[in-house]
Amino acid sequence: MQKLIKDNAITENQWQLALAPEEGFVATEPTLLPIEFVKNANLELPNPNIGLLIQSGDDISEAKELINSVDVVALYFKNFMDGRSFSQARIIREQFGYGGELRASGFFIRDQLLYLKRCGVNAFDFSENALEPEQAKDSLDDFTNFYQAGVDQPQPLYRRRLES
Amino acid sequence: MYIYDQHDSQILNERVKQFRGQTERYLEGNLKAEEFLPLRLQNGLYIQRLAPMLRVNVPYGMINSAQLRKLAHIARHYDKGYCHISTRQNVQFNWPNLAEVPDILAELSEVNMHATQSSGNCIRNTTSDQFAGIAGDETVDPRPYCELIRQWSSFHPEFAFLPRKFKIAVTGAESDRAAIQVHDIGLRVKQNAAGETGFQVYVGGGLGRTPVVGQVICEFLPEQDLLTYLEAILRVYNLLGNRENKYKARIKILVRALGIDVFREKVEQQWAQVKDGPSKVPGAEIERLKSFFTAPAYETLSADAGVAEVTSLAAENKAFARWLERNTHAHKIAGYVAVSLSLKPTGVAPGDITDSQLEAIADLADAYSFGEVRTTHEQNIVLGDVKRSDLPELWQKLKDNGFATPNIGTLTDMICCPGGDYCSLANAKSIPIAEDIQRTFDDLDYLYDLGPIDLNISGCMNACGHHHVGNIGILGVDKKGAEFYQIQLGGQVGNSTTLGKVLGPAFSQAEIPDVIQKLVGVYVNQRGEGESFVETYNRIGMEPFKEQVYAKAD
Ligand code: SF4
Repeated sequence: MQKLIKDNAITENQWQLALAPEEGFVATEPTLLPIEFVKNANLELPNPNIGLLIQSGDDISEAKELINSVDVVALYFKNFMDGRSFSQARIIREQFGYGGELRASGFFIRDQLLYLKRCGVNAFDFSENALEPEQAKDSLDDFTNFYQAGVDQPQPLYRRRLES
Repeated sequence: MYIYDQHDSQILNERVKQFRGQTERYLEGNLKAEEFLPLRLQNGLYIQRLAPMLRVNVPYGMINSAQLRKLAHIARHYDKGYCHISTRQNVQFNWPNLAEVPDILAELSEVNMHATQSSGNCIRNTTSDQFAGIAGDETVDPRPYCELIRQWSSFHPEFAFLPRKFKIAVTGAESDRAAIQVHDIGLRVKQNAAGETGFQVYVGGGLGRTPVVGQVICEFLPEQDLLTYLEAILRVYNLLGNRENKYKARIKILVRALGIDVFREKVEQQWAQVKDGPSKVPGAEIERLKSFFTAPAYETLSADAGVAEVTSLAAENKAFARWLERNTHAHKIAGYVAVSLSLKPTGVAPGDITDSQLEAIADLADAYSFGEVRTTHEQNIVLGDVKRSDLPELWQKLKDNGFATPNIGTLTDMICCPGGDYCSLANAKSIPIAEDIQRTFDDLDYLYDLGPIDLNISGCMNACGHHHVGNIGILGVDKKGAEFYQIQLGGQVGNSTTLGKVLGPAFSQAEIPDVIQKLVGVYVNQRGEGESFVETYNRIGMEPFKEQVYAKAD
């Protein structure tokens, strides 16, 4: 099993990615399935073997209920320069109130870990990129103070400053 | 000026350390070039035609004497002894060594300076009016809001990988000197009838390949809602902006494709989610930021203080009189003026400045202007708070240092991008064109008689030299591998922002001075009483200019 950083600790990844499952695919072990596939197949949820895979181009504006019916959601990076997943992560956490695991998958780079975390991502799946989780993890500490609000720190600095 | 507290310093120091680590990983081969690319860009580092270029932010154009001395030191020790003021009020070093950039950033951080997000697909330095806080036509000082935006946008976790770059400009004056209508977001701070402060918000303006004048998305946005509203605009853009084609990726294309009304609806949907959350700006924070931009210790002077000395010198000394007319500007405080230092003497690339000149400006700022200066998007420097009675003495010192060329606002005060001499994207050189024109128009009396003319030069359609909004715009184009120049007429920036129109077929470098002379000649022949170049153009149109320039020689 590939390694995963989850909640700042390195652990084993239990979920496999199914980027393009065939019609009628049945998940017999924990699998992250494309959100469109799950929607179209009308699968019954919750199901311990089903999580969601969201590509940066997916429109999630109507997916609040679906997302909140699974325990694991993966934001998939085809290309690390595509920053849409950052906004998706915030919407999922801040607008949908999703409390499960929100992971980054695919081809992100280690220097994005902290910003992703600030946007609400709490797990990083390294199975598709060449990063060493042990080294990559250091990047989570690049900054210890922030100007703006994030999922990790909902109080922007200007409110914290006024309190101190 | 804003002064860093322990939070600002901590964040900046962490950034410097982060970039040092990233650079080391790159140099050791542990970070791929394509992955290092956005990281170095977000620290202002380009790889140019000849060497890397480092762009250092001058937040909304404000810089103090200690910072100027630091820039001088960097120019001297890490570069070739000079740097360049960009059209977005920033400072560019053309020859730094990649491995030394972390050291440069560490040195800059000692004086609260940085290159954070000065490049790359992220929110760039916020620009403003070079006369902010001192202009007579100002309703609200924009600088506290610029600083609010600077802090909010710095290391914003959600918006570091946008479809394209994103630029914000703010003005608080009646006459827009910050070009807010050609920015991704333009903000005009104003007060409503109830005396509340807020913003008129423009969105989707920009130059570049597809120049567009911004549209109003909100007539009055209360000040405490500024950041949540910006966040909503940026989120809509981040999610919906074009990521397939970089030439269609700016927000202006999205706004145009959706239409301003649909775009506004989407922004308001997002805004409703965050508007009353913790990111709403408390009044106390706005007050805190305002406290950094209070008036310096002005002397109480009468309105005519210094007028007699200045008038008598002007009467006997024509050079002083010219300088007084062109390079000094009204100030809202009695007895004070603002002074422009021209970085456009003939023979120097527009906006270039040497290490010792930077130090000279620092000394002059300390002696005459409370230790602060401003950079302008026309690539000059302004001493904001000079006593009128000091002008004769100051003028002498400016002359000694090469800053007294009395050409502010005239044809030779050109905006000019670095072009083919430095920039790897260029189609053509731009600096030699500027120089040819300066040499052609070296008769100051003639130059003054022509009055205000904005001449802007870009070396390619990326339009860093703002050629679309020059009264005369010059654009470098490639014609079968040779460098040619297309001319545009009628562009304007400010309250009546207008994009110029193409005159006709492009010219070679050698033809340009003569063409400019002919264009100016048409104006001189046709102008009405007190009419400026662009006013004449607006009245008579393109045809007379075209006829003159393309007339077949008999
Ligand atoms: S306009 Fe073109 S040539 Fe000039 S600096 Fe910009 S990209 Fe380079």
